Amino acid sequence: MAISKERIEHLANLARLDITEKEKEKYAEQISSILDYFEQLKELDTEGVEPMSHVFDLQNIDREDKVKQIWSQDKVLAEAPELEKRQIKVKGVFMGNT
Amino acid sequence: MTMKLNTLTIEEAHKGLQGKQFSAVELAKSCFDCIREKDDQLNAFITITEDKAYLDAEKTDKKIKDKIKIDVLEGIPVAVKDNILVEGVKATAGSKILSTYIGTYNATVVERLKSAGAVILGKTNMDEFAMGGSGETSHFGPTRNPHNLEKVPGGSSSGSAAAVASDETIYAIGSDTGGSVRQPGSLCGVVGFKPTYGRNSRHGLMAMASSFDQVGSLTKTVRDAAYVFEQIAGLDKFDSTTVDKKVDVVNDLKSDIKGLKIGLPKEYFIKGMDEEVEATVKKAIQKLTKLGAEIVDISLPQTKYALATYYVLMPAEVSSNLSRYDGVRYGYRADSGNLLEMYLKSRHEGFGEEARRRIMLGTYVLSSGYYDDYYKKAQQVRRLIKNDFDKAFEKVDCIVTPTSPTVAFNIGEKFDDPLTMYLSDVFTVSANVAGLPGISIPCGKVNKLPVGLQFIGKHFDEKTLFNVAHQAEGIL
Repeated sequence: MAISKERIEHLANLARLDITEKEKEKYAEQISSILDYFEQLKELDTEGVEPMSHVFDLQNIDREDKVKQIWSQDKVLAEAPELEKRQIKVKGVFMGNT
Repeated sequence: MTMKLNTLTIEEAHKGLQGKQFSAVELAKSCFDCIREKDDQLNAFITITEDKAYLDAEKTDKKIKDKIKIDVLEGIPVAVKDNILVEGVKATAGSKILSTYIGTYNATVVERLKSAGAVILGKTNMDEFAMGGSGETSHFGPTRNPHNLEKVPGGSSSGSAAAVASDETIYAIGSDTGGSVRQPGSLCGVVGFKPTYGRNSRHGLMAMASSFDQVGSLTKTVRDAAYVFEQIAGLDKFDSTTVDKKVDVVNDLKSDIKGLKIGLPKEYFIKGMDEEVEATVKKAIQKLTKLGAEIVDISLPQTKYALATYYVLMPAEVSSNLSRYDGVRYGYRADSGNLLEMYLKSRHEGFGEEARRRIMLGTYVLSSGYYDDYYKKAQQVRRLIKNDFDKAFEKVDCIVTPTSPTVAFNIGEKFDDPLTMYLSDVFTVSANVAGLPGISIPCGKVNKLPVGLQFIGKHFDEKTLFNVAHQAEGIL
């Protein structure tokens, strides 16, 4: 199934990936051929088959909603690219041109 | 002593430590000497933790000196795949986006290894976020196959398999989402084991496709894999998919397998499979009858749909799991003018090509208008595949197949053709799709490169799986 460049652009935007023109062509071609490979699944009659999202029938496991410190906050915060007053700082939503 | 300690198995090294033939520090040192000698070429390790390893080894040596009994894994060197967290040690998952990330806690499997006295040598190279079957998608360069440096070691646990095969470590830990422990085990000529889904905790394992991911091991023998499995498996409050079931595999390794029924699925000998690999595998299967096992022809009719099913569902889970790498809280952040640009650039510059391709593919199959055609359909086929196995296991005790359709291929050979690369997983994905345990053991060589034989067991019946694999190992 051929997949259009516009479709690739839409997907890249949904996935928050900034891909180049060259990559758009490459991905369009590669993803098309992979989708063609998926077509074989349509041969199978799956009418009435319950979709399987997980190997076993799991039950929800609840725990008490209690505040508990498990990991060092310092270690976790040390991984943040930018901090201000122990808070993670990012670029403004409306800064620059979008 | 002149013996190369790094070539020992867990069992041999344990006996040597107990018998005071050598110390745990000497054992670790022999591994680091080997790493220094070979790893410039192999590129199996991303990070070495030599100083920490010696501190841990000294603890074992003190216990031995004080005549305190030691556990089987105590003082034994292990290498850990770089998508599994070790507190205070870099954990990159083979990706640029995490190239400076330091693990903030121990994964449950690491915690259990540490509490058993394991000596962690370092973190091993891998396909980026465990996505690949050759080790070539790593941001830190490809790992090479110790049997032939021009060949790939398989993947995604490429460094773990190569490190064990080259005796850089006594054993290693990996992860298996579609064959990522068994396939490199096969291509490197070592034992690769993945348990039933839910046996090993995924806490601290970076999520790739959560409904398929399991932590597994790469070892020199089946017995060693059994020791590791008994230590790391079990219920974990941090992973609600783990189960509280007894693990008891070491005791049964020696039982004879007379009368055991081993299923041989006809669908696993496909067109395009290397003829010599096929002949080697068939010869090995024939030998199993010498042990008194009965080979039973079976059919798993949906087998040919397993790979497509996996490659719809896995990228869908990948696209969701990898959304957390956005440059905000940790990892790589690109220079940018505003928030949206920061996401776009950080993810574009931080992820490699295969990761981006799978994110795009997963986003596609989950997107509005296509969800039912692909994602839901694949989930339905997933159930049919599992039903096939359930039915087969009414007749047989375990299943035997090849692990990989070919021996190790050339570096670069399949890199630009994703679909051909995906076919490397064709014999291993079904076990993950159905959540079954699987083990690959060496069964011969073709062109001086190892060939693997895979056994697939019933859910939670690793006992039979290890028993059969151990007996087979003895005659192959």
